[in-house]
Amino acid sequence: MAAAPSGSRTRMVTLISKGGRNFKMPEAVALVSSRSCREALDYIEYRGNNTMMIKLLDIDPKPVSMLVNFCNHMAAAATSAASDDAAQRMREWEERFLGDDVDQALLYDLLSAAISIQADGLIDLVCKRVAHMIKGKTPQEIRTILGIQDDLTPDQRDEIRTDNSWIDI
Amino acid sequence: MPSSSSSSRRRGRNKAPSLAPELAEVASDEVDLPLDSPSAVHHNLYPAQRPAVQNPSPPGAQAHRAMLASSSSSSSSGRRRGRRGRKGPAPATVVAPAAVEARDWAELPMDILTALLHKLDHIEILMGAGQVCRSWRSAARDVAVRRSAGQCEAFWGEYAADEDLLHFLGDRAPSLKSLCLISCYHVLEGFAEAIKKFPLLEELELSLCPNISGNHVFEVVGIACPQLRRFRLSNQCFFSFEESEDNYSFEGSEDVYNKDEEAQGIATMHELRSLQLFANNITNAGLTTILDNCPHLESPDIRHCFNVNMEATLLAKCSHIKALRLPYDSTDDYDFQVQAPVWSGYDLGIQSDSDECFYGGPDYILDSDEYDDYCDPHRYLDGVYLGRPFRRSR
Repeated sequence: MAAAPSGSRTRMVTLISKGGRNFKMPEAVALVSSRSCREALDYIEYRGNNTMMIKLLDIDPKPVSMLVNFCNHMAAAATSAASDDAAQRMREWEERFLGDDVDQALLYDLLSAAISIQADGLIDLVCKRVAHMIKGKTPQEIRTILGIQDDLTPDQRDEIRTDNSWIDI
Repeated sequence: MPSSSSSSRRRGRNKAPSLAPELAEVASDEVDLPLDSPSAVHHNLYPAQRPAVQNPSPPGAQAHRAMLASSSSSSSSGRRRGRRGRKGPAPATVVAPAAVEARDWAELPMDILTALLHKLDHIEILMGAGQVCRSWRSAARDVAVRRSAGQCEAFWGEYAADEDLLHFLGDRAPSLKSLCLISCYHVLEGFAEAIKKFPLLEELELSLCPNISGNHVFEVVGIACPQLRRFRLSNQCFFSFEESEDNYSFEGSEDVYNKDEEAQGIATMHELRSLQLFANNITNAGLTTILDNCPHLESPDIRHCFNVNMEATLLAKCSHIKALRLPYDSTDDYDFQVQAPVWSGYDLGIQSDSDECFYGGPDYILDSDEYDDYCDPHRYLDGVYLGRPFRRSR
């Protein structure tokens, strides 16, 4: 990937959310954060000032903006020296990023957005958070938290009972 | 498997000095929502002063969204927007708690689901996430197998394993060291094919799997798993076959049952250190073959293999062995339920080294029928219990 010639505007990658909102990040950030962008940018040749547009028209603006936020932050962190301090700061940032106000719906949308552009770092972070939410919970509790329907067949239920019969309850 | 350490790996590719100014540029004007203060979020999902974003649609309308590349479904949202109108900066509206959006967590792509479940431990998945719904159950099984594969250590299957699972396991964990199948009735002749996928196997247990037997299957195991050190084959109960024509079970039968068929297969496991056969039909010949071909055998356990008669020659052959368990030895430390042997025909040819009664000792579990027989004086001859059934004609 050739660097932008000096003096010209930096190339950007634009994510378009539901409602036509645009969120941009520098191409360099996209390359670091998103596998899809890496693969696409290998094939795309820019003419003039075109930016690469990624349509996420099913996803609300907030998760898309959070995605861009995350990518920018991760890219910046990657350039700074690794240290225990830096790792600690990153953990604290991640906790603020997915604060208490982030509910399962937002997590899901965030995950959708991350999956769309294969942003592995954010996928991993959201999975960690969801795992934390369902750790140690019963199946019904998990269904309530995430709004999942129980569609197990009677056969599957029997299998589960048998498979788990060695556990002392 | 997504890895958040990937950013450090890619550090070398970035032109580091150019990043900072680009970030500054982004932070200024392009993005509409504040970047660094996620805590500015209000109770509803989207700050209401953004005119383009209305109240979240009612639950159910957005449910069952598949993972997307991009699809333009903006027409419906445009309609909604038109209906509700815009009123400029509106006071923050609070979403009623009941309007929590439905999201289809069951429909996540399988690789994402497995990535998620990988962050839980085995028990949490068994007791919780693996029972939530069909797709999660599928992912949970995948994780269980991948975990075994990742650790390259052991796979234990009770009841649920079948040949398909073994093949799947073989593909994922070709360097498996320990395989243990208990009460796996669904594993049949296909086992011989599946076992070829585990060339590094060191330990194999087949307990109470009645359909893995005879017919060269253990010869296949011995050849496929040349590093096998521990082998355990446990049957549920000893069932005696007699080849003599007196035995009514074999009336008219053409087949001669080779009691040492399995032993001959086991004799190909040259690296065996530990062997346990419980309630097997192996005879002296079979045991001899094994001892001759498995020079490193340290602890053979042949409890309830009542066709073996430990006479002097055989005992001499075992003199160098430290931990020998013989057919009539105590089963106190046996980990499965011990069932009384079944004798067919008039089978008192079994010699016993010990004086103890070979039937009905404290290790055996007698059901009520057996106990009634046991107490029936007509079933005794000279003080010796004849077992059941018995034939007076001999």
